[in-house]
Amino acid sequence: MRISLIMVFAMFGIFLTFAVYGIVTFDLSIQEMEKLLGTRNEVFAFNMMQDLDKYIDKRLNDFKELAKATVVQESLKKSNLEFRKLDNPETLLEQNKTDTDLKSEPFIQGLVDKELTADLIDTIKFYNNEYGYNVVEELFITNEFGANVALGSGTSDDRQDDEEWWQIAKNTGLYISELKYREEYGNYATALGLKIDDEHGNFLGVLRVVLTLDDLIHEFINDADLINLPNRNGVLLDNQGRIIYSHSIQDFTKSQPVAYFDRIIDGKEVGTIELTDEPNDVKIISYSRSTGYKTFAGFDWITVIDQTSSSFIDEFIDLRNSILITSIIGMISSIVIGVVVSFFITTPLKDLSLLAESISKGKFNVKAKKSRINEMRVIGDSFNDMTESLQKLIETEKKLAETQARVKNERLTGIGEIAASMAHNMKNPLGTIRSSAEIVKRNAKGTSKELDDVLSRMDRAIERMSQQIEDVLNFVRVSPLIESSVPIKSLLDGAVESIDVPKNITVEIPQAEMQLRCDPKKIEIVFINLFLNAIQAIGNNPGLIKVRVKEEKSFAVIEVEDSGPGIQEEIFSKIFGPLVTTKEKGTGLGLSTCKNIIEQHGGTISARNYPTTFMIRLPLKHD
Amino acid sequence: MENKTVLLVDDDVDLLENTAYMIKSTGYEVITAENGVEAVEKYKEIAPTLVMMDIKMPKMDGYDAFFKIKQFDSKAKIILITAYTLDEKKHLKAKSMGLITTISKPYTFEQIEEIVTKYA
Repeated sequence: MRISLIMVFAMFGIFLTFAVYGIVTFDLSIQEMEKLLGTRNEVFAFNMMQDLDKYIDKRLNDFKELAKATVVQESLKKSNLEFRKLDNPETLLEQNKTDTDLKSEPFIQGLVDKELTADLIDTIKFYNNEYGYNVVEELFITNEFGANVALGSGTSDDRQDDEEWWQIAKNTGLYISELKYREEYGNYATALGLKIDDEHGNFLGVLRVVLTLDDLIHEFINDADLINLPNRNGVLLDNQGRIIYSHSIQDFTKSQPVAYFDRIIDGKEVGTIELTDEPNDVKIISYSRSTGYKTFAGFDWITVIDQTSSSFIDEFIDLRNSILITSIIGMISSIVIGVVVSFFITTPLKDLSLLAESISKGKFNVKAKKSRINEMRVIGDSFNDMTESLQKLIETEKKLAETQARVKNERLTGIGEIAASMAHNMKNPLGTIRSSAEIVKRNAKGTSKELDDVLSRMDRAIERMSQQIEDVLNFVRVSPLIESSVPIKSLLDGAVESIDVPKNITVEIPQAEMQLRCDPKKIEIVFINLFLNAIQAIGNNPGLIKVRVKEEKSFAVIEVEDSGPGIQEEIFSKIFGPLVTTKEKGTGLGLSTCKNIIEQHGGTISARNYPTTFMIRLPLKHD
Repeated sequence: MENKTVLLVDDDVDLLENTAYMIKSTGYEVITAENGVEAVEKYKEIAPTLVMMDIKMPKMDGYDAFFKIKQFDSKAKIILITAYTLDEKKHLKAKSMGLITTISKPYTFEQIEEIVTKYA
């Protein structure tokens, strides 16, 4: 496999895993985050509700403390005693109620406690100083008959016992009115009626105070300011699901309940709702219903933390997108890198290996392509240098070998020429010796047996010399072939006839019909040589020289096998070389001459050992 | 019976004389020459029945002498004595012009007897 493909697959795989992992993790994280966010916002909502209820409870306690104040208790007891002395307080009260002129002035002179009034005014001032705005819009105290005893602020008629709130406060201990918008205060406000008892629990009177919404939800506003973020908002709903506060106090009496109010009512006291009105903008609504605080039962209001999920999901989407983009870029770049690696490295490397292969096969006319990558170019250049050097080296070697061969050849040729000339020059004196011997032999025949023996020995010596000279000349002279068509059998027979086959050896020549186009004289020399070798190998033991002739794919195959002991292993491989002989009297040129002659005919000669067999293949040419 | 003459040509005088002796023993007249030029002259002079001529000779070699004699007398019977074939072209040409045969050195008494008896 190509290195570039492996790289592409590996990198592609890594980035793909990265992408899938990123997306899966992203979805899980979002779910987890939403849950976490909901839980956290629930805690916020719960705490804000607690703060709100605690604050209202504190206010109530403030006024309860006020009701227990000695000045209040004493004044009321005193006022109640005075009222009990009156014959007809009901009539007096009724009369005063219609008398609007008496508003600014307590209707019963002497009964209205100036000291208490001053105290209430101080209380109002205290709150004003403390909070910087009018917390208390209206504050007064009535005695057990419903008549005003002290008036801190606001307007009131003198008789309150006929009012519903007064009766509720007297009977239940606490009255809390609905929130109403009060033109005169320019604010929503709620009226509280607080029953005042003496230390023994006897009814003394009622304290009425009107508190503004600003003050009631003072703590909530503070909390909301703290938790509010561009995407997170603290909201206060009333018991009907209308928005009292969202960024500021709303004109809620005229508005409709929020859409998710039913779900809050159906749910637990603290919970989270997911609103998926818009697909990409999930809203997480965490709420806490009022449970009251200590003695304060609560208004059944609901605090809500409203957070848009896009705010935090956006970050995740950004993260996911960046993972996806990174992955895609990674995948693309892995392919690009693969292509680049393939183009700049793998392909040139492959080219180089092909080049090396062709060089190893001996083709030097190849060149490495120029690469644009420096390293590859360096390799390519080295390659080219190497090729050139190799080529030069091989050429030099070749030249050297040729020169050596030529020198050797020239020397051999020279030696050959000398040998030929010597052999030839020896022929004439040898001829003279032979003819002289013949003449002597003829003339001295029968004269003396001893002389006959001497002459016979001379004859054998002359014969040996002639044979050796003939061998040398046969080897040295490469004369053109004088071809004619001859039956193979006659060539073999002729060869056998021209040598002296000892009686212990049988020569088997097959009845072959085959005609051979060749130089009969030369081929005969070949056969003579083979037969002489065979005879000498067999020696004095009874033996057989077997000749086989067959036709094989337009070749004549002649095999000469002898029953001799075989050729010595150490010279077997070089028997066709010149000057290789095992015979004391041999020139070592016989088989070498045979090889020359057969090759001159376009054939081949080879040998097998055990039994020694020479195979000659000669092409069957036709006239 | 007409006395047959053999012209024997060889530059090796010893061998020439020995061979001449052999031929004479078989009952032929022998005239000798030591080179080609002399051989051609002698042939023209006496017109022998058979010519036996060595190839390798000074002045004029056997082939050239062969061609000259054949030029002079196309019916001349000539045998060439070879050490080994020197000039293949000339050899082939000689064969085509009616060269009877060749004999190889060193030859035996029997060979000479046979050839002379056969062709002379």
